[in-house]
Amino acid sequence: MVSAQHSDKFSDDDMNQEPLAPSDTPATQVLRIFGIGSAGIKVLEQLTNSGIPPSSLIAIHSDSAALSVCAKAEKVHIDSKAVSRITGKDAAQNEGLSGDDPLPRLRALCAGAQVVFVVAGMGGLLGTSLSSVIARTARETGAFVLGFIALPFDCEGSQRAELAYAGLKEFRDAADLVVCWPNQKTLGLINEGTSLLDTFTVSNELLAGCVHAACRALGSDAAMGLRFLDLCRTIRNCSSECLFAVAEAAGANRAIEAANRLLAHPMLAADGILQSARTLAVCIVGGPALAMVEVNRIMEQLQARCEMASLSMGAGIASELGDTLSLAVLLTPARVASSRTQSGAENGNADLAPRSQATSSGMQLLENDSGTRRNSRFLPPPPALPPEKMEQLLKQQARSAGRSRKNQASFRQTQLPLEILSKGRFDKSEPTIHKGEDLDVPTYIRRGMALN
Amino acid sequence: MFDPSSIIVGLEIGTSKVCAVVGELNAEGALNIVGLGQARSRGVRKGEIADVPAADEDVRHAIVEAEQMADVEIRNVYLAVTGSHLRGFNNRGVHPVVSADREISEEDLQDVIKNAKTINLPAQNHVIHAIRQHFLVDGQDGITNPVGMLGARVEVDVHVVHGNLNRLQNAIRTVKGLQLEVDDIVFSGLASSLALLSNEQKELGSLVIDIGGGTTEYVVCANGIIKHTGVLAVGGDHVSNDLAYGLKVTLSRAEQLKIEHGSALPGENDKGKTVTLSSELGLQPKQINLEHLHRIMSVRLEEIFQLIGQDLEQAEVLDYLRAGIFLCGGGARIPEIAALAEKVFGLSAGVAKTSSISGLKSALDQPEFATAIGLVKFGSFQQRKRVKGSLADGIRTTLGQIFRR
Repeated sequence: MVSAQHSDKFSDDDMNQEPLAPSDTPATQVLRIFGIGSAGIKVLEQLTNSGIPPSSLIAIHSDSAALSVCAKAEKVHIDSKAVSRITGKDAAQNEGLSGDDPLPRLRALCAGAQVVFVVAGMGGLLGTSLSSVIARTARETGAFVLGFIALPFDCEGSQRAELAYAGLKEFRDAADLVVCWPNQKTLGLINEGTSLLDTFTVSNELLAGCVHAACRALGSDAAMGLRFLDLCRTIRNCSSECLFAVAEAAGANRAIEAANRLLAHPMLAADGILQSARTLAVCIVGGPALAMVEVNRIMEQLQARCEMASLSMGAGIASELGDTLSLAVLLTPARVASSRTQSGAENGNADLAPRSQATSSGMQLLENDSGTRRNSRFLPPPPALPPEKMEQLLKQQARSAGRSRKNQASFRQTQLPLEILSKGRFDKSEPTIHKGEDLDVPTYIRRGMALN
Repeated sequence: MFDPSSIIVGLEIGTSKVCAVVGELNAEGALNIVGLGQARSRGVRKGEIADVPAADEDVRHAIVEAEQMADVEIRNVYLAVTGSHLRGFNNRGVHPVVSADREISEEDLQDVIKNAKTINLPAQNHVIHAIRQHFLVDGQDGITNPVGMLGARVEVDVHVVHGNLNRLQNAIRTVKGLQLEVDDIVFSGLASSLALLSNEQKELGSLVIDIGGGTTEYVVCANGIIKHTGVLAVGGDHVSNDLAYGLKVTLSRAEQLKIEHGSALPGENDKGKTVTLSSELGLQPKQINLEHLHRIMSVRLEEIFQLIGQDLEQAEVLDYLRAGIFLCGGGARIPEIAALAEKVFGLSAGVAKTSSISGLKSALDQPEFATAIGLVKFGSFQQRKRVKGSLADGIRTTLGQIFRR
């Protein structure tokens, strides 16, 4: 369905040769992809296979055996003691405690990168705790941090889920934008006989496909609309959590096909996700032959399905894509946007953080850390007003309210509902139309026969 | 009491009545009608079920009545289907004879029939019947059995009746909901023609018009084969509805007027005549102009015949009808209807009676039971075939054989 194993060569060579030299041209943005924990490393492994240069991949794990799986990537081994040390308290305060503090190394790896992707699975020890540390470190070095966060299956138990959502919350505050990847969504893609390992592979492949598409979008030359990073920023203005879906198609009918595949993507397949989306950012990347008609067709398809959303788009050219058209969509479902504005929202936020309102001891630990992060992107607190200004505003409001009441009271001509005449006995049946004539209408009327 | 395999039940869920006819196949293979159950139909419009619970109840009543009368337990039925979605057309299959001596073999026939039955229809359509017609050998028409003949090319026509699968299944589901099995579904026009026409009439060429409550089905048989079929979603209900509009009476009154005073042709001395409607509760007795009554009915029925005529003309089968027109269904009870048909088609016409079946006189003589009796007859052909042990490949071949007899 969504192919992640596209064998194009991402990223220009200069990016690989001089990874630490930042450049202003967007096509040569320096990118680092951190894979944290088992889930992150598995995604990195997929990415290595799909042609992402290994020099930009960094695998982090507490188990050196797990690290060895990812042969080509840069490896950072952080033992569990170090993890608890740097996450247990504020990381900056325990520099003198140990000689093998991993933070300077992480900082060095982030240095010079303009964009950092953090790929991790939440719910475990490493991903949950370390990802926000890395995000924070990367942000300190000035990078744009985009997280790809896999959330546990429902059947993995409430404790793990709570831990995951607590981790997600922390990460959300540390990163610029978080792509949530509920593993539960992949259940729709497997069948009865799929093994446990294969299920995770499916999920990791899909996630790797998203990361790959994001890399490609980042590396493409902007041809129309916004660049990928700007698209991410428009999404961030609405919410720091979003869903991400990608699709690819090649051939003559690729635009329609890609759009259809995108709509069938497990992240968008749930009823009403697209319709209720608040913000939608579409990134279309194709080879040099990418046609305006195709872009137009895709946008029309998407627009028709999400009339409510504020839509932004960007189209880019990546010559290595050839005949293939890659389509990526970032979107904020309505429920996420609203849940951020009203903390006690109903438990309908199933896609991103359904259990974030759950009362539990694990949650309370992290509830009170707000305020360290940048200002909320939603409903900034009302500015403090001097009393006379407030009075003036209230008066104005009262005046306008009075006017509107008056307007409501004024007579308005309404339209009478169209009353459909009953067709008697044939009311509920299909009309019998023969050569344009409705045979249910009495013949003598149709023939204009006079009865006197 | 009876051997269950010898009991054949025909069920017609019509627009105005639900009718179940029980037939018994005796040891000699002769068919005898032993039971009849009917109920007023309330859940059907234009031949198709519009109100499932009401239809369920009516079917149950009819089946129970038939069971009591025949003293059998009904488990399987042959079900009549109709509706405006049904279509009939002729399809031709071609097969080149490949053998060195150009002799047409049985295998060639199987192949050509297979080709003719390969029909390209939309997925939601279901083929109800594919009835074999005549063979053509090198363009020579009218061959009934070309085995042993010499030729380079053998062709065969089949008449295909198909309809919308979902709409067909509505009726089947209703019956299955009553713990009855549906042996087969049969186009009701075809069933009527089976009940009414003798072999000679099939050979000579006849048109069967079944004027039901909500639909009118017509079938043209000629040269022993089914030439053409059609459904018009107009029937006796439309006549009543027209009367209710034109005479400004209620639908039930219009129905009653149609039955008591109706006529398909305006009489010469209708002028000025009136019928007095007995007063409805608290209303003045109403005078109904008989001329208007007859004229309204006449134009509607005339239109039905004209529409059929136009269709037959288009299908180029009008010239085959040497035996004339046979009317059945409740609409055939309207006085002067045969005269009207004669006037419109210019052919002899009459209300047909079920032939070649023994049994209840009360059932056999009524034109409205023709379909249900035809269903039983259809079932008996199927049953005999099974008894003979011939490997039936379904209803389609059976029909081909029936019309070849």
